[in-house]
Formats: sequence, structure tokens, C-alpha cells
Amino acid sequence: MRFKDKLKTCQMKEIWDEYCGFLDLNINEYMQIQKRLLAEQIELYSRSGLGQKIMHGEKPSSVEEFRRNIPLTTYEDYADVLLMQRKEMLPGEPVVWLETTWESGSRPKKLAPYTREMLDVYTNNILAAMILSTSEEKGKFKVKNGDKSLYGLAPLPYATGLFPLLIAPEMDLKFMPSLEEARNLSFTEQNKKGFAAAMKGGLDQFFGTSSVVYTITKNFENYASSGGLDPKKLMGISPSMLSRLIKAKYVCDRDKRPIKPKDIFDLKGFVCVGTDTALFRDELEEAWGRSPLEIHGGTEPGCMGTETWNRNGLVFFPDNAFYEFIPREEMLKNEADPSYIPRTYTMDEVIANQEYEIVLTTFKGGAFMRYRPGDMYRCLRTVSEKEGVMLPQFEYVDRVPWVIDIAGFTRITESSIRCVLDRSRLPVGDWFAMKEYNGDKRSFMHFYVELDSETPQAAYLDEQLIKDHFGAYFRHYDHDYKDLKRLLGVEPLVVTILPIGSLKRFEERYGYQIRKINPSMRDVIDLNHMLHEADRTGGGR
Amino acid sequence: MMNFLHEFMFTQVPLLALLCNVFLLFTLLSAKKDSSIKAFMGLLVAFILWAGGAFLMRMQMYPDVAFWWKVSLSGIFLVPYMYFLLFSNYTEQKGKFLKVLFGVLTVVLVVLNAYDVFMTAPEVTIVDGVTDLTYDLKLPAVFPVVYAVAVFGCMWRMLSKTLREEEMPVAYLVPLFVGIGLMLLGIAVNTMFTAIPADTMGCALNAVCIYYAFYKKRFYALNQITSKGSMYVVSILITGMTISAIYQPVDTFIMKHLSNTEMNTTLVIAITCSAVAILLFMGLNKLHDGLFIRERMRRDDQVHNFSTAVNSTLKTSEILQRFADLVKEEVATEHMYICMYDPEKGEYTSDVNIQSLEKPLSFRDDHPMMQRLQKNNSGLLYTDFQKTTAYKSMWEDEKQQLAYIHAAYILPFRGEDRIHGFVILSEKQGKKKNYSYDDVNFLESIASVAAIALKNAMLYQVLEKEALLDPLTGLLNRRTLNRRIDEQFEKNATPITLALLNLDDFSLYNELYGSEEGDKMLKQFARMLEQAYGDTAIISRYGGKEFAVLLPFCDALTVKAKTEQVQVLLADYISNSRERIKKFLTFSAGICSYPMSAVNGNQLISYANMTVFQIKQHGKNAIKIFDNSQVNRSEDERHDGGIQELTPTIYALTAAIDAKDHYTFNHSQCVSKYASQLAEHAGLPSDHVEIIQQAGLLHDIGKIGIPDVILTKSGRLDPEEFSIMRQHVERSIEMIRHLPSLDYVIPAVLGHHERFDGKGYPRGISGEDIPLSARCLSIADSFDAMVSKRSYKNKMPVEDALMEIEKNLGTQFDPELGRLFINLVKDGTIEVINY
Repeated sequence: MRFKDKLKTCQMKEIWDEYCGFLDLNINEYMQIQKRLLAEQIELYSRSGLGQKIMHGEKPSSVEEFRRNIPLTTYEDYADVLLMQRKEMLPGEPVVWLETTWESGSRPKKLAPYTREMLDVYTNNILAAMILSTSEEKGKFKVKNGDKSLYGLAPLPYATGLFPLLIAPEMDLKFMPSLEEARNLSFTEQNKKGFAAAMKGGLDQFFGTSSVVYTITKNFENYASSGGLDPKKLMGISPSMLSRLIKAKYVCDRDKRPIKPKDIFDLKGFVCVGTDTALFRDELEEAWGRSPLEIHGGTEPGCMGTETWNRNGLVFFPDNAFYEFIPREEMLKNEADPSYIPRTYTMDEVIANQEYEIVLTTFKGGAFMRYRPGDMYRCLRTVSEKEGVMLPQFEYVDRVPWVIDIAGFTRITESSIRCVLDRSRLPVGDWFAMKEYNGDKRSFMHFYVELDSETPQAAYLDEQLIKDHFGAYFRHYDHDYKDLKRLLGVEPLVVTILPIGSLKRFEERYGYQIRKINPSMRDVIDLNHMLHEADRTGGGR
Repeated sequence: MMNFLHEFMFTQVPLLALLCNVFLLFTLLSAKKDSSIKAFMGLLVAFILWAGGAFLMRMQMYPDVAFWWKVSLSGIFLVPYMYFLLFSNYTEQKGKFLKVLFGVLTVVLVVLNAYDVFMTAPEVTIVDGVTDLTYDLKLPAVFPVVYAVAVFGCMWRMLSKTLREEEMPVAYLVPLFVGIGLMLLGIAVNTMFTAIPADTMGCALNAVCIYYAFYKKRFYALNQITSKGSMYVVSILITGMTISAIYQPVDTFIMKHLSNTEMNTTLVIAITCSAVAILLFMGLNKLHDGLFIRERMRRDDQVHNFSTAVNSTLKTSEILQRFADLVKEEVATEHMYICMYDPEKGEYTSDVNIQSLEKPLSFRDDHPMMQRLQKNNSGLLYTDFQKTTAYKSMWEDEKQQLAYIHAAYILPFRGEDRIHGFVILSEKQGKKKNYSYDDVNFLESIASVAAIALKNAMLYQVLEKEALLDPLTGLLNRRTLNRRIDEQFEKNATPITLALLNLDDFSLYNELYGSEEGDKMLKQFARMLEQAYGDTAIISRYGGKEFAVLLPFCDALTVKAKTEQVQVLLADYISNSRERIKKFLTFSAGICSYPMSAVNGNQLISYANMTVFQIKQHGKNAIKIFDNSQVNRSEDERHDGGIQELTPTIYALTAAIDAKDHYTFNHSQCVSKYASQLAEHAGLPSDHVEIIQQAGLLHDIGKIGIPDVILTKSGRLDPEEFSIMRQHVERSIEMIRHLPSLDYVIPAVLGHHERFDGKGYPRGISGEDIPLSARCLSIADSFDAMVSKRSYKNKMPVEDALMEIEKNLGTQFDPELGRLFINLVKDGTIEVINY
């Protein structure tokens, strides 16, 4: 029975229990599902060429053996099989290959295969998220067949591009623009067109990448006028939307405030995907009149976790992947000494207020085992008795420290910066980069550079020149980086020139080198403090 | 004629509506009543007042038309309120305030109606022979209309809220909407075409629609809502009302058209009415039986018959087969798979396959479906299970397996402690694939019956198994083997060979290592037999330490080879034992074959037994095939058996000691005498006394192997010599165990140097762990050693020796036996021998 038939014939409680029933599990029941599906995956994996390669012929029979005998993996371990799409090596028959950035510019796109069974789980979990996005209390939701939906997520072959394709067979969600039309449009055009349609016919649900949604929200009046406020474009607008528009215009003129989405739309569901959702949440809620529901996942695991009706923490779907967590200290220890094997903890072993790097084993014939996608989560609480959710809840923190993620679009690493620097031939002596946020809560890369004292032209360079030059090369090198400017209209780079020898002095004073990517805030403060001292004592460039 | 039809319609249609509502009301009387059912009954009462008032008004019944008019109107006024109650209950919405408000307003309307506030009372006019009722509306009539609109408005709000929040599928509400539509349509038609009583007809159809809505929501099963009693009441009511309804028009008709029968009008009407009444009554009865009772009765009978049948058998397969047959007959399932719990595998496996599968189904206890079944009190619709979180943990193989067999309903045989088994029913044949409420009820009933029968059958099987098997080793017992031998002879499975394996000196093994260890060894030996002889062998524990193996279609030489394998396995087991003290154990096996040696089963056993006996006579630890030439010799030997046979051996041995060391010979004689006398007075049975006597004679037989220098040394023995001297106990055992049928003396001999406090040798056992015979020997041995002259010491006076015994009671000697011995010596019962 399809989802739309269930909406017609089943009681609300039945539908809730089927899709969101996992929120009623206790941790033991949750782990029972995890362990059972892990056993299935080990069985499938051990029969495949990839499994033989990754598991080194082992076939663990318990979670303990699994953790003890199977190594932690990164995409490099799979690259030879997955990038060549060697189906015969996989534990399950792939029906679709999704892709995503590996390391911006410096590596090819990562490919991840999905089996039919994985897509079934993906579909159920997306529907669960959709139900929860329209829910404000446990067991109650407002999803209807035929709801009008605006779709602001990256298209295929990115993971989010699967959402509408998976939902379409289950229910008649009216996407704006339609899926057929959207295929021939760029992402920007798709958003504009969808928004214009929403202005005319109304909007029930909104799926979007948080940074894109935030941009749209910030520029709402421009979008609104392109859709309906312009009298020339009132043709074809529905009477109810017309009345809403007139009312909104009147109220906003009266109150002398800009028009907001909530003045025009009565949004039922609002789903946001992306690494910055938590930052924008309050503003988005204020603008749309509904708090966005954050979902998390990735190309490798699919839809991994969702917030609940209270929007205060992600709960991971029990049937999507087997989850392990590396505590931050263990992760750093492993980064400093790659031969050190970090300890992992399962869902029933996590502790509240701890930060963890997630480790995934995909279920249902997926390709990844004990895979480190490079995402950090903080466990907010292990149970929420008030809410009645007896499972750990998380919030997304960021990528792992050695990756700079900007607005969920790009992943910048040390090697990609080195590569761009080489190509740009900028006379840079030393540098480090870190992710920072501006007053608009926009993330950007702050690039701290020391110029090369032995290059004469270094003396003529200033921060703007370096930014333009470096930025131009980066856009050429990394297409995701280019999209940031194109889609969000943001310049994600700030350059600060450090006095020559600053980083060397830092090392001498503190006894260690400052980390190239995302050094700790304490180190940056200490560096600034040291430079101010130098200013006072007459040092510097 | 037209007048007659007009009259007829205005009486019969309200009558039909009335009867329909009365019928529904009565059928609900026996249903389980919740607030929704009660609200529905209230609405039916309103309809009855409406239709009944209209009918009786039209009939101009007593007291008058005005009265029935008011009754009918009261019914109409009650309808909106009753509808409101029904909908608020049906949609499970709250709203106490509105219920009270509308309730009060309804009461006010009904009271005002009694005072003709809304309409004038109808006037009866007869135009062209047609009775008509005329009445006028008054201005306040607008109030009931406004009230009705308000109530229906609230109902609409309630319904739209329910639908908006999706708490109830629209499908559940469709019959209710259709009913209201019909009722309103009826009223509208009646308003436009007054010649048709469509309002009352709409009222009747509306009731039927509501009735269907309730059934669809499974508030009750249709065949559970009526009783024979309510049926009779309905029949009487229908008959009575029909008579009263048709009397007037029929009387008029007769008077007008059949004037020649005028005199007998009453008689004609009475007969006609009676005939109609009887026919109606019979028809209703038949309808009642056909619609409600027959099906239920038939299924009840099926359950009863099934119960009787399965409770009269103790065979699981028969119960399951009957169950499968009944389900196939009654529920028309496409396929069914019965899985029963196998305690040995710890999983449920398909037992009776109605549909053959490539491989049997199997479900472990941790299968998500099993866990769900264990939580559920009833069966499980597979579609419901698919919606659960537990389903998420299913393996794809498991899902495919259940999808392949089109699993639709899983019905457990639930016992007190666990589910004995379950049935997976696939979809039903025909258009309706799903299992109805009635199907589920029926299946649950027979599954409960089957579960009890299965429990009994399984219990019986356990007992039966216990009766067939030896509880310690799990092998067949002697009685079962005898039966199996007979069976093989009946089957003529020639050649049939029997091997009888008798563990050598097993009582000694038990004595040395304890009975627990002995049991362990027996179990281990049983596994060795299974390993060596394979699946085709019929293996049994024939006696305490005796095993019999029957091999149909197998010759003696093959069996001998297999038996030699057992010998190897046993030797390996013994030699691989990691225990500190190396154990010893061998067996003697006699093999006999039919038809080569024996002519029947009894001879097979007898000759195998005889062969074992002969092996035992000649040193044990051997495997021999029965030779027919043994028969006569063995028979003779057996006649001479018993003690007489042993006596020369014992005397021969004691003579050997005498030759080696005369002192030891005398000592043995004395110990034998003292110990046997002590045992006799301790109340031991005579055969035990005899064993002690023989043990006394043989207890130092091992000294034959001790060098003379040590044996006859005049001074004290140094530690090394003492160590050698101590070996005489083991040496005695080694010698005795090779003596046929003398192994019973070994415990006594082995323990005669043990001390009561556990400080003795060779095993260091203490207290009552030391065999009683050994404790007797110990006292006698020490006493004689003290009172006799030795190469290294002089005689000790008897009194001193007794004092010494007394001093060591509880440490070296058994206190009770020691005290008894002292008394026996003191009172002269035991005479001290000087030598």
C-alpha cells in the first residue's frame, strides 16, 4: 500500500506508528535492530569481493568482534572499487550511484552505490521526516496527499536529489516546478521558478538546503515580487493567495516592516538539510512561522537522522546504518598518530555532552563498513523523558577539524589549499586556514598568510589582492566553491596577512606548530596576543 | 383502487420503517454496549417514535391522532440531538458543554411541542374516501429548524475537524453520510410529493446505513448481535402490527367487493391474518437462522468436532493435519505452513507442508516476527506486522521468504510458557484476499483448542520418549531393545548381528572415582558407541554397565570391526584424560549373528551374553564372535558357577602367599576371620559377610610381589622400603582384577589401609567414603598385626591392642565398628588366634 493510500484508509496513529514508531523504542530495542541488521550486513559483505578486501577474510559474529577485528575505513579504502563502479565486487546489486565532493578539487567525486533495499529504507525515513516536519506534538501530523511542495535541495546525482524521486511513487506531492520541468533547469532557476509558483498557488511544504533557504529568506521581497506582488504578474494567482498577498501587504505597510514568508504562506512542513541549519534556525522560524526540521545524512549513509516534533536534537534511524562514535580525544589522538586505533562506542554507550566523530556501516548491501565520513556530532542527551524519547539525541557540530565545510557546499582540506597556492604562484611563505562566521551567521574561510620574504613582489601585495587572486584560482579549482558565490551570493574568503615569521615564533614560544586547518581557537587567540605584544615592542612587518 | 393504494402506502411504509428500526434496536440489545452503541440505540428510539407515531397516527389509533402526531414530532425533534451524540461518540470527540446544551434544548422543544407551540394538531379529513391529515405551521416552528441547523452545523464542524486531523479515514464515515443523505432526500421528496411517505422510508434506510457503518468499524460481528429471544419478540411485534395495519383496508375491501362473504368477514380476516402471521413468523425464523444462527452454529459445531477429534489423539502430526484440514475447509486459504518448536534445534521449523517448499521454513526465537507473536495475545496480520518497528530489523532473506509464501496471517499455538508452534496462512482464495473479523475469531478459537491438544500430545511424547530411553545415556533401554529385536526379526533384516559390550570392573571404577564420574563415563561411552556404529545401529543400555548394539543387515565381522573402533575410542579417551590419576577402563564384547549362530532373538542375546561371560572368565578386555562349539561347554561351566568355582582360586592364591611368606598366610586367615565376624555382628547380610571373608584372605595378596628382604626385614623399614611396601595394595588390585568374577572384593582390599580421618593410603579417602568392608578389614588387619609376633616386633597383649584401637577410634578406625570389635573381643565372641 502506498503512502497516499495509507493517508486515505489508515488512522493517523497507525501511520505515525509505522513511520515514526522508532521514536518509541528504548535503547535496548534500538540496539536489537542495529545488531540484527549488522549481522545481515556482515553476512552479505563477507560474500563479496569488497567485503573480503575490507574485512580481511574475517567474519565477526558479535559487535565486540566486529569492533576488534574490522579496521576503520575512509573513502580511500573503497576508491578502487567504487570509482570504477565494479558491481561484481559489491555486496548488493546497485540500482543508483550517488556522488558527492571528496576533497574539493584535489580528488575526484566520491561515488556511493545504493541497492533497492537501501532505497526502500531511504524512502521510509524520508517519509518519517516529512511526517515529523508537519508535527508539533507526538502522534499528530498534517501531511496530505497533493500538498504543494517547494524543493530547494541539490538535484541528482547528489543524495538530496533522490528525495522527490523516492516520494513521487508514494504520494502525489505537487513539486514546484514539476520533476520533469526541474530536470532541465539549473538549481537557481529551479528555486526561482518554484518560488514563483508558490506565490501563485500557495505552499504546504518546503524542503531546502539551509543556506539556500536562508538566502531566499533574506531576499524574500525580491523573490516575492518576482512571483506575485508585482501587479503585472497577478495573472493566474489563486484567489486565496491573492487575498493573502493583499492582507500581507496591508499588514506590513501598516506595521512598516518588510514582508515575510509567514505573511503569505501557511507552511505545514519545513525540512532543512545542511551543516548550518542550527545557526539559521531562529531566523528561519521567525520568518516562516515554523521551526525547520533538521535532517542529517550524506551520500554514503543516505538519510541518517531526523529531529522530532520538538526540534531539539537528531535521532538516528535504527535501520539506516550501524553507528559507532569516536570520542573527540580519541579522534585527535588518531590524527596525531595514524597508527593509533581509536576506540569506538555504540549508540548505547554514548555519553551526553560529548563530541564524537561518527563511524558508519551501511545496511542492506551497502558498500561502507566502519566508514568515517568525517562528521562530528555532539550527544545532547541520552534520553529525553519529558519528550518521551528514550534514545540518544545529537546535534551536528561540523566536519572533522581537518576539513573546512562552507555552507554544506564544499570541503576544503590542507592539500586542496596547497594545490591552489601552487597554481596561483602567490608568494606565500606560511599559512593556516579556519572556518569562521560573519555577523550574518555566514560561514567563510579565514585564510591567514605569511608572505614569502624572499620574493620581491610580496611587498606589493595586500589582503584584497591576495583574496581576489587566491579566490579566482579557488573558484577555478573547486566548482563547489564557485557555487557558493553563484547560489548564495557570498564571498566565502577572508584573508589576513600575518607578519613574516609569526608562525615560526608561535612554534618557538609554544613548542608546537599551529595546525594548518582549523587550529583551535585558543591557538589563534594566543597568536593574536603574541602579535599585539610584538606591535607594542615594535616588531612586525 | 387508487384510494386503497394511497391508504396502503401511508400505512405500510411507516410500518415498514417502524419495523426496520424496531428490528435493528432489538438486534442491538444483545450486543456489547459501549457509548457509541448506546447513542445509536437512542437514535433508533427517535426513529421509532417518528415512524411509529406516523404509523399509529395514520391508523387513527387510540387515544387520538393528535397524540400520535405529537409522538411522531417528538421523535423528529430528538433526531438531531441523537445524531449529535452518535457522531461525537463515533468520531471519539469530546464536547460535554454542547451535549448538555443540546440535550436541554431538545427537552424544551419536546415539552413545547406537547403544547402545540410549533404546529396545529392535524385534522382528519376524508375526501373521496381518502383519509387525509391537515395541519398548519406556526411561527415558532422556525426555532426547531434553527436548532436542527445549529446541531447539524456543530456536527459538520466536528466531522471536518476529525477529517482534517486525519484521525479517522473518510471510508468509515461514508455510510453515515449516505444515511443522512437518504433521510434528507426522503424528507425533501415528502415535502414535494406529499402522496409518497418518503420521509419515513428515508428514516428506515438511514438506520440501515448507520448499522452498516458500525459493522464496518467492527464494533460487533453481524452474527453476534442477535438472539433467538429477540427474534421472537420482533416476530410478534411484526405480526401484531401487520394485523392491525391490514385489518381496516381488508375489511373495507371485503365489504365493498365481496359482499357475499360479508357474514363471515371476521372469520375470513382472522384466517387470513393467522395464515399471514404464521408465514411471517416462519419466514422470519428462517431468515434469522439463515442470517445469524446457522453460520455461527455451523462453525460452533466445527470447533466442537475439532475439539473432540484432537483431544482424542496424542499424535502431534494428527492434530496438525486435522487443524490444517479444518482451516482449508473453512477459511479457504491459498496455502498454509505449520511450524513447530524443536527444542533440540531451538527453533521453529515447518512440520506439515501443505505446499511443498524447496527448503523448510525455520524461525528462531529472536526472529522479529516471533518476538511480536510472543508480545501479542492473539494472531498477527502480516500487514500489521510490516508496519511495526520490529519489521525494520528483518533480514531481506526473511522478508523474501515470507513474501514468497504470501504470508497473510500468523496464528500461534500458545502454551502457558511458550508458543508451541504457529501457522502461517497465505492470502485467501477468491476476490476477498483479507481475513475477516469472523475468520480471525474462528481461527483463534481452533488455535486455542489445538494448542491445548498439542501441549498434551507433546507432553505424552516426552513421557513416551522417557519410557523408551535410558535417562542417563539417552540410549534405548532394555525393553525397547527387545522390541526392536523382534521388529527386525519380523522385517527379516538378515543378517542381524548383536554386540553386547560389558564394561570391565565398572563397580571398581565407580568405587575408585565416584559414581558421578562413573555416570559421566557411561554417557561418554554411549557417545562413542553412536560414533562407531553409526545411524543404522540400534544402540541400547542393556544393563548397569552393559550395552547392546543391534545391527540389521550387518554381519559379525563388520560388527567386530566397528566394536574394535569403540575399543580404540575408549583407549584414546582414557589415555587423553588430563586428570592426575590415570584411570583404567576396558570392556568385553560378545558378538552373535542371526541366522549364522542364533535362530531367534532370544538366542541372539543369550549367545552374545555367553560370549561376554567367557571373555570375563579368561581375563576380560576382549572382543569375540560367538562360536557354536561354546554352547555345551559354557552351559556346563555355568552350572558350576558361584562361590564353589571361586574357592579354589582363593585358596590357590592364599597358598601362594603361604609359600612366599607363611606369616602373611596366617595373618590373612586371621584377618578374614576377625573381619567376617565383625561384619556379621554389625548386621551385614550374609553375602556381604562372605565377600569380606574372601577379601580378608586376599587383602595382602599383593605382597607376593614385594621383595623378601623387605617383607621379612627385622628392623624398621626405611622410607623407600616403606614406599615399596605400600604398593602391595595396588599390586593386590592388579592381581584380583584379572581374576574372573572376583572384582567385588576389590573395594574392600583397596581400602583396608585407608584411615577414617582420611590420612591413609592409597587414595586418602575418609569416613563413610571408605567402603564398609574395607573399614572392617582395617580394624581386623591392625588388631592381628598388633597381637601377632612379627619379624620386627613382639606380640602385644590383647588388652593393649584393644586400648590402642579405642585410642584411634574416629581417627584411624570407624568408631562404631571399632567399639563393636572391642566388645566382641572382650566378651569372647571373637576368639583371638595365636600363631
